Amino acid sequence: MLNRRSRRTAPTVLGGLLLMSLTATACAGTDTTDNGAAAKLTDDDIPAFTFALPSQPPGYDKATSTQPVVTGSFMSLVTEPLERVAPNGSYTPALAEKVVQPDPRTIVYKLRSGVKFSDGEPLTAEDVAWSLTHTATPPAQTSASVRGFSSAKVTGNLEVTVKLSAAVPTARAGLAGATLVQEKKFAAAHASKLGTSAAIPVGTGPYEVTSANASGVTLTRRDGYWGSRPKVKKLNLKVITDDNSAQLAMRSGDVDMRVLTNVKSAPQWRAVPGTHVYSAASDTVNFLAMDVTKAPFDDVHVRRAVAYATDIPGLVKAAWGGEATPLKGFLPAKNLAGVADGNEAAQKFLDSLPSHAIDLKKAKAELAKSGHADGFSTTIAYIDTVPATKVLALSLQQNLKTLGIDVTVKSVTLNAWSAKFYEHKLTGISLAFGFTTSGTDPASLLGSAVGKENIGPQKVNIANFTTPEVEKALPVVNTAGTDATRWDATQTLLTQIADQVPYVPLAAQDFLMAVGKGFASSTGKVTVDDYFDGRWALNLRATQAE
Amino acid sequence: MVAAFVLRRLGAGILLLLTLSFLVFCLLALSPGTPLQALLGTRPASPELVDSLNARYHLNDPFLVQYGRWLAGVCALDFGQSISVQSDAPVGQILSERMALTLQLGGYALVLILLVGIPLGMLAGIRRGRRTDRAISAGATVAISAPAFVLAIVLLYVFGVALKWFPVYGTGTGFAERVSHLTLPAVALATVLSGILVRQTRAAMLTAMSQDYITFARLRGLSPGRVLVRYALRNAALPVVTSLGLILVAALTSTLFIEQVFSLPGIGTLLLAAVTNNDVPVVQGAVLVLGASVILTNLAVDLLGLALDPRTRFAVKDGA
Repeated sequence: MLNRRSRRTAPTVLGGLLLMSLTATACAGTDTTDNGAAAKLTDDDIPAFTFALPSQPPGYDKATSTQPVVTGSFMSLVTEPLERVAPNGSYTPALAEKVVQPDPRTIVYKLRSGVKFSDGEPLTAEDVAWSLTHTATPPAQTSASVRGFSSAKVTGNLEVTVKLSAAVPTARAGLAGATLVQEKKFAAAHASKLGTSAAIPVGTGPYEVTSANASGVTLTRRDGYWGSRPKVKKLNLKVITDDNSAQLAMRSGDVDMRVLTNVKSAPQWRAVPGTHVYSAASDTVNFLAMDVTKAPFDDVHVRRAVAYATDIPGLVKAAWGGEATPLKGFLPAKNLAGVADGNEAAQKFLDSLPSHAIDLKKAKAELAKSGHADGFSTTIAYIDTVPATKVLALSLQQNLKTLGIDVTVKSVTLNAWSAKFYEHKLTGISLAFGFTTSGTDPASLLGSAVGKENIGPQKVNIANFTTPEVEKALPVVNTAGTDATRWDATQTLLTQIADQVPYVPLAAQDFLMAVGKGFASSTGKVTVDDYFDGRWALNLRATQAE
Repeated sequence: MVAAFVLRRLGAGILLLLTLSFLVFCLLALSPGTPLQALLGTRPASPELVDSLNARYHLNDPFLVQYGRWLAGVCALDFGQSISVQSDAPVGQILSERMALTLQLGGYALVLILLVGIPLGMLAGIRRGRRTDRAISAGATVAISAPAFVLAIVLLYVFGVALKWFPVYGTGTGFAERVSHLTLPAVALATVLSGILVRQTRAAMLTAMSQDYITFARLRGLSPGRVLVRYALRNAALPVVTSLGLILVAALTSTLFIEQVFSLPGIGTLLLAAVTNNDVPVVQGAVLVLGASVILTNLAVDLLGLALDPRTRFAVKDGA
């Protein structure tokens, strides 16, 4: 019999037991069946599929949305791209049947004929020229990612020609990734509200938006689509902000898919019966940055000491739960493959770069060579909503302490960090996280992270790093030309970074997507590009019931 | 007399809202980050894009000009347009969509709080010091102390996932579905808040039950039910109603956690997103709506007090 004291605590004990059972279930992963790549796929129609979004999409027009990636992930099923770019840099035609570049400053799109918008209107070259201009000029959010755009003009019945102001090597990939074609007539008639739930762009895609509100968005498969029909009839995008709640919803079968915002939670998602977590290397890189123009980081030995004190393998485990790939250079090999004659050649070069693998003895020796042999004080800020950054900051604080470097760790909001980043006012050791590169060309990130032209507000060179070698190589990397010449210049930039250490490359975080019981991707994988351009939905298949 | 009292309170309420809106505007301006950064995120930005966004949302205007423009809009019942949470959507429309759900959740929770809190509080008050009292008081303490989000997750797991009695997320369509979707969130909210009402009702009942008129009513041989409801509860009602006002205000802050865990698109999640993104028009709109709710709730509680206790009416007549 319970005594008086234990009776009073009974409700607390009950609460504790419930929590323990919840935790135990979340951790019990041994008896689950994984329905991923090994599952037998069927060609059956899928009546409904629910995708849990972490927040309400801020808009429905990718060009003006404050979160173009989130908007693009489902709106590219409604308003289609001209072409899609694969991780290996190859292009798959969508609305543009053929794309040619007669010279480095001209891109010509030959459009598919017989394509109709969901309201029955035919797709015209005017619609495409308008969509390209809408995407590539301010105030479109996407305008800054399409470098060198000058104009888009109709040059034939189903032909649009884009003129560039400079020979930007990433222009075609940038336009392919950013542009979603929508009906010009509808856009013009709803100019002030375009992209809100009251004026959702009209497109040529396999789906149309049939409801959109604060709870989520419903896409319904439409008849008359020019391409092959996707299997899912109704795509429900539901807003589930809390990760734990999303996991419980998948456990109960109410949700079929979620992109993992915290990759460390992957083991818990894998423990949900029947769920498969697709994991793919992504272009999202993380690095440390130190301002080479300000003391104490103006001393290369200090920067090297910080690099030697950074435990990258340990961080990959602690900050990302092993769901990240350590970086050998400033960019992953795949983002160099386009100019380096393939992934292998790129990786071989990265492996040959000067290494600063964790070694506290070497770190101490470097610091002893610097003008700050007795140590110094500095700061490192982490983003309160990105758990990995906190682990990174604390780990670095601990390691640098052994060198006599006193690091103050501060928590900041993403918005505050971004503001300082673009004002060029970050101080101390900056933790640059989640920088997305694109395609197989180094120009997009490497071409903006170094050199005089990239220093200043709204620019990426937060280390204020440049050398005569960099100034010579940078224009070559950022201008279309022969691969061999650009690869030489790319190697120069990467070598300069590895040697002078304005940045300490950390790791590329993997892209993880959990797909629930009864479904799988027909390609056996879901990459970050698949997520960006809607292929995740086109590749969905039902699996055979066991 | 009462009409003058209501008008006076409403006038003071409007002044309060004006002050509140100005203070929040100042705080947002002082807080780290800017609406521009929320718009740009960590994507590359060109000077042309920055200029264009600044011009579109008047972000470079002086502080007072920005506030003046917003205030002029509100006077014409135009709350402006969202900058980043729902780019370009009218704030009035966003708020009306969200507020309806929060009010439904609050109303449902209030019904549960009243149905559970008052009877349990009365029972504990009548059975002072006995096992029933101790059990109810201990339960109320646990309920008050339990973090709302932990309770919510436990409820979700037990009743949503394991037993599958209720949906795990969302709002549902139609009355029956909406009630089913809001049950777990309302229970979570009511559990946390009813603890306060139980304690308050218990204390008020203890005071009332020890009064001479209760002893006299018993001596006259009146039925226990009549003594309890007509004499004890009516006299205990004033502090209970006052605490109910506080509970309703506390519910507004608690909904933030509850809406987050149950993925309900209410005013709490909206406010959180708007503050995170420095979406000034949305924050201002939400603060006005929440502020007005608090002012109106307090007014309603005071009016209920006037109806319940004649002595307070004399105080109003005297100009208090």
